[in-house]
Order: sequence, then structure tokens, then C-alpha cells
Amino acid sequence: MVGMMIDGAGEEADELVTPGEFLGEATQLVAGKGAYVSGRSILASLTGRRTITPPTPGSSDNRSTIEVVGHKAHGAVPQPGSIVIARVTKVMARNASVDIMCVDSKAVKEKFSGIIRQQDVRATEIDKVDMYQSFRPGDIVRALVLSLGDARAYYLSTAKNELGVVSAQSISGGTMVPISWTEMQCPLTGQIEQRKVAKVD
Amino acid sequence: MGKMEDRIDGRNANQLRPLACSRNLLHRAHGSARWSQGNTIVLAAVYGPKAGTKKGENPEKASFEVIWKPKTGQIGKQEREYEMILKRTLQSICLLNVHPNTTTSIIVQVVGDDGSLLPCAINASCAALVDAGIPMKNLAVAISCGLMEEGSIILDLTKSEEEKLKAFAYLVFPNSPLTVIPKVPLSKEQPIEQGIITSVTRGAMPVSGYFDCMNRGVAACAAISEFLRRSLQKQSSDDTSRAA
Repeated sequence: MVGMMIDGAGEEADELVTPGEFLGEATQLVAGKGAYVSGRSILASLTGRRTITPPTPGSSDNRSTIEVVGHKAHGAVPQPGSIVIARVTKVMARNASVDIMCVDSKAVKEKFSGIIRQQDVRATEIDKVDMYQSFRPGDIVRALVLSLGDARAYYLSTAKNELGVVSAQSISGGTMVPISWTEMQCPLTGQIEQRKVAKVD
Repeated sequence: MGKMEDRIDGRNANQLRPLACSRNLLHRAHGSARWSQGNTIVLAAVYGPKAGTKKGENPEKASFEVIWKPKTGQIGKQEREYEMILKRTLQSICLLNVHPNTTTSIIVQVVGDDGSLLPCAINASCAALVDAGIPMKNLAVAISCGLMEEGSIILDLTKSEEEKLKAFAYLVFPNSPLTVIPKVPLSKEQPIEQGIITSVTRGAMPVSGYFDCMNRGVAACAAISEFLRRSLQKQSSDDTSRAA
């Protein structure tokens, strides 16, 4: 049965589907992007072409993944676990406000706000964090979405080596270069400023 | 059964006005669609998902706001009611858990009104949501059914018919179930949503008349559903070929 369904799907892989169309049984396939599970059935939730991806070798689940691809995607929306690129707008004693610009590798179409709390800036000595020595307005930061937060903003974290400030301008207007995990230097004046710097690969 | 001469425009009781649907018309909107049924034309635009939900909405789910723009003049009580019905209808067909704490705005602009305005707006909004890539459980298709004095039922009412009729109903159904898998028929056990999504009635209608409207509406919606599906698929294939 599984073989027949997957073979059949392979033959018709170019067929366009619309929301609500039956794609397969949840016992034999995993619902990917553009599909959802209703009872024991997998149904399409977007308009596009369906594709079946075989399971990765060595995975415990030997079901193939069915997805609906090639559709017009809506703007990216931050979700817990996403890595975002954001611009710092306001720095206060206990938190910093940011505007999210990119989610994973996709630009957002709408404005999403985020908050980096004092305890989420770094993993160690979280009680000694000085927000003004970690971020400044205008800095571009890479952060992890922790949760939906309150009605106003998403809670973000930079408490990993690869998270933090990726680009910052000095007072004199030059783009600063990181010299350590806590410092950035202006190439024009040589002035050193404190930041929570993201480790660049 | 209504005779050919029963209707002003020469249609028989079961005949729908010419349908037309086009998508992706507005560049600033995330999704847009223009739906016409005869001279009733509605343009729908979708913006979002945007951050945050309004006061009173559940932040753990996606929420919708509908803004109705009449052809002329100010928004009135009737339009407010249409906004509410449209909002509830769209919330029932969309997957609300996918983007919690977001709001999607649907702007409905009436271009022409020659009866069956709410069904036309629902069909346009549904096509616009598809164009915006908003995840949906299924498509919704809407139809208007009218009960004549002698008890016969007519479909897809014009404005003049709505004014004359004893009673009429706007009915919204999920799109007819379909499988894309060859050689695998839909079993009776598969929980593909059937039944009715929204029902709006005007005037005094007997129960038997209402059920007749329902049966006739289901048949008409199957035809509209097929048209909508073909329209979406045609435009999706055009988009993908253009992208290639």
C-alpha cells in the first residue's frame, strides 16, 4: 500500500493541489510544509505542487514526508527556535527593544518587535550584565526567538557564542570590527566600545 | 422548479451567473483577488500575518480582521454585520495554530453590487487568502438561494430578486473533498470536513424550504468549488512557469 501510494505520488508529482485536498494517510506519510494532519488523513493547506521526500537514511521514522511547494509564501513570521536578524531601537537598564528584520534567511514583510531581557543577553554571570555595554541603538544583532512573549513583542536571546551583535557603527560613523567577544573597535579612530559580540564563523 | 421566464435575466432556477476570478492584482498587498458573479464584483486584499493580536483576541492563535469598503458612502449596520460574518467564516477555514499572536487583515472593496454580495465577498476573500499563502483547512465556497412565493428555489440571486423574494439564504460550504492520489478512492471514514460553515437567512422560511435550499446550495457549491479550484490551479501553474 505504501509503495503504491508513493509510486502513484511520484507519477503525479507535478499535480497542483488546493487547500483541503487529500494527500495521503498519516500512518504512511509525514505532513511537511503546506500540509496538515486531520484525524488519520494528511490534507493540503496551501495551493502548489505536492512533493514526496523519502526519509533520511538512519532515521527512526521510515515514513516519507509530503509537502506542498511552489506556492506564493506569505511573509516570514518569527517562531520559537527561529534565528532572527534584528536592529536595536532602544536600550534600557533591564532590556533592549529590537525590530526584527529577517527570520532565518527570509526577510519579514511586516514589522515584528522583540525584547532582549537582561537575563537573556549571555549564558554566564547573567546578574552582572550591563545592557548599555552589550547593545546600542542601531546595532544589528543575531538572536534566537525564545517565545511569543507578551502582546507587544517576542522574547529574544543572545545567550550563545554565535549570537549577539554582528554589525555596529561607532560614534564617528565607521563600521566597527570585533576584536574580542566583548569589544569592537572603530577602524577610523581606533576607539574601543563594549558589545556582546557574535562569534563569526 | 422555476421556469426560464421566472427570472428577469433569462436564467433558469439552477443557473449561476458567469463567474470570473483573478488573483495577484495588487502589488502592495500580500495577496489579492477579484471575484465577479455577473455584475456583482468584489476585490479582496490580504495583509499579514502582522505581529500581535487585538484586545479580546486569543494570543495563542492567529486572528483576523475584516474591513469592508462599500462602493460609495459610509459603512453602515449592514456592512458591520458582513464584516463579522466574514471574519467568523474565514477564522473557521484557516489553520489558526500555525502563526499564533498574529493578525491578518482582509480588506473587502465592493466594486459592483447586483445581489449576492456577501457570497461574492466570501469567495473573493478565500481566493485572496490562497494568493497570500495563508494556511487553510479547506476552501470555502458561498452561494445565495432564494425561496419564491410558490415554494420553488432559485440560485445566485440578483439585487432585484433579493428585494422581491419572500426569503433567501446565504450558504457557505467547504470545498468538495478531492484526492490527488491516483487509484486511492476517498473512503467514507476519512474525516474531510463536510456540512455547512456559515448560514445567513433573511425573511420567513419554512424548515423544508431551508433544507431544499441546503441541498440545492451543496450542488451549486460543488460547481463553484470546481471553478475556484481550476482557477487557482491555472494561475498557480502560470506563476510557476513564469518563475522558471
